[in-house]
Amino acid sequence: MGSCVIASPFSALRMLFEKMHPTTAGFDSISIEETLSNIYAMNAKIESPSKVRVYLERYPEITEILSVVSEQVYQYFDYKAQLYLNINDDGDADSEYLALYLRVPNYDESVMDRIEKIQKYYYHLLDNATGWFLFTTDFLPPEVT
Amino acid sequence: MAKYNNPPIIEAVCEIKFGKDTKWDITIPGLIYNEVMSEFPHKEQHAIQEVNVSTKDNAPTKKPMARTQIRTIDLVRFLSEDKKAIIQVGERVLLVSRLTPYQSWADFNNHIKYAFKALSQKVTINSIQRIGLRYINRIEVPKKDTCLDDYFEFRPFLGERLRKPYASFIVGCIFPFNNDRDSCKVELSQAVAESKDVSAFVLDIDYSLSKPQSIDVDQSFEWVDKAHEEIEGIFEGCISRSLRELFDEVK
Repeated sequence: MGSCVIASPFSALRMLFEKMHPTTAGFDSISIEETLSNIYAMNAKIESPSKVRVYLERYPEITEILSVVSEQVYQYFDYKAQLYLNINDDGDADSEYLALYLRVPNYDESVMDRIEKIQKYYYHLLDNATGWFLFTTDFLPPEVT
Repeated sequence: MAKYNNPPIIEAVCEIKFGKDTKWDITIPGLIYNEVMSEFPHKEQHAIQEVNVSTKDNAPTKKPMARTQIRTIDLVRFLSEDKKAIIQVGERVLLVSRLTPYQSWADFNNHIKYAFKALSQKVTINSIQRIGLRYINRIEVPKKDTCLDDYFEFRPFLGERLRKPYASFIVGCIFPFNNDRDSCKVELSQAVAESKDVSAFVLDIDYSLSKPQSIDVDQSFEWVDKAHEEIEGIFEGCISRSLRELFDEVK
């Protein structure tokens, strides 16, 4: 789980480099950075990256889930979709969780179907997780960047 | 690298893999926990994926094909009270990490020695298969007219005829050391910045033993000291005066 990699323009390059010089394994810092970079590259807005980093450091298994979900979003939606990542805490640190919202220009029926399909990819991964993750939509339009 | 008041280190890690001639069983992590629990009281179970990339000829075409093998390694983590110092133990592997705030090399080195000695008391270590020391730095610089040349001596070079600006980049080099016995992989890439006012980069310096079992077990600490010295030199070689000022160099 420490070195999960999703498809990115640099994956192949890193693989090649890995062959020449196997990477020293570590804690989760680099997989957190790579996962955030990959999501950011997918037209995502990350609210308070430092809070997200702290959360992922505390609950490393969520990094893998985030990585899996991002990859699926890439498969199920087109370039008009936007992601919004933040920590929801409802004012209570004990109930905080990581939320990834999908925003699209038009919310037809198929959007929820596709979201539910993606949810099935990660629900089972939450069984053994100590942190929590939610992928859904807030039905807002994508932000103009 | 601790000569800065604001060092950019987000993680320092030392990984030691032991040879197959080191006997191992599943009770060992528990035995080590008994040794370190006073300083590393929190215990967690975790798994990491090790990626092995190799090439092999594709029989019909004789063209080389890349083959990727992913192996899951179960690790037990022991964390300090503040969860910033971590020991991880898996089958014939020991990892010692320090997260932000990085205190000093002396402090981190003590943790490496502490963990290694705790392991040595429970396991007869016969050989070192691989050893690596890695420093991962996340560097943020003001975005206003960010020019990599101002901050980095290790950076991508784009000729005049290439399109600018680029969307993203990653650059890397592998430097040989000690007659190719060791090597150091250096990577600089863009990272997600905290705000729109800054640009962020990850500078990853990974020094390791290239030739398996080419040092004796009792040379491990000496190797780690030397690796740290080389990493410091590379780090200083990668950054410019502007970054030293941002890191607030201790005079």
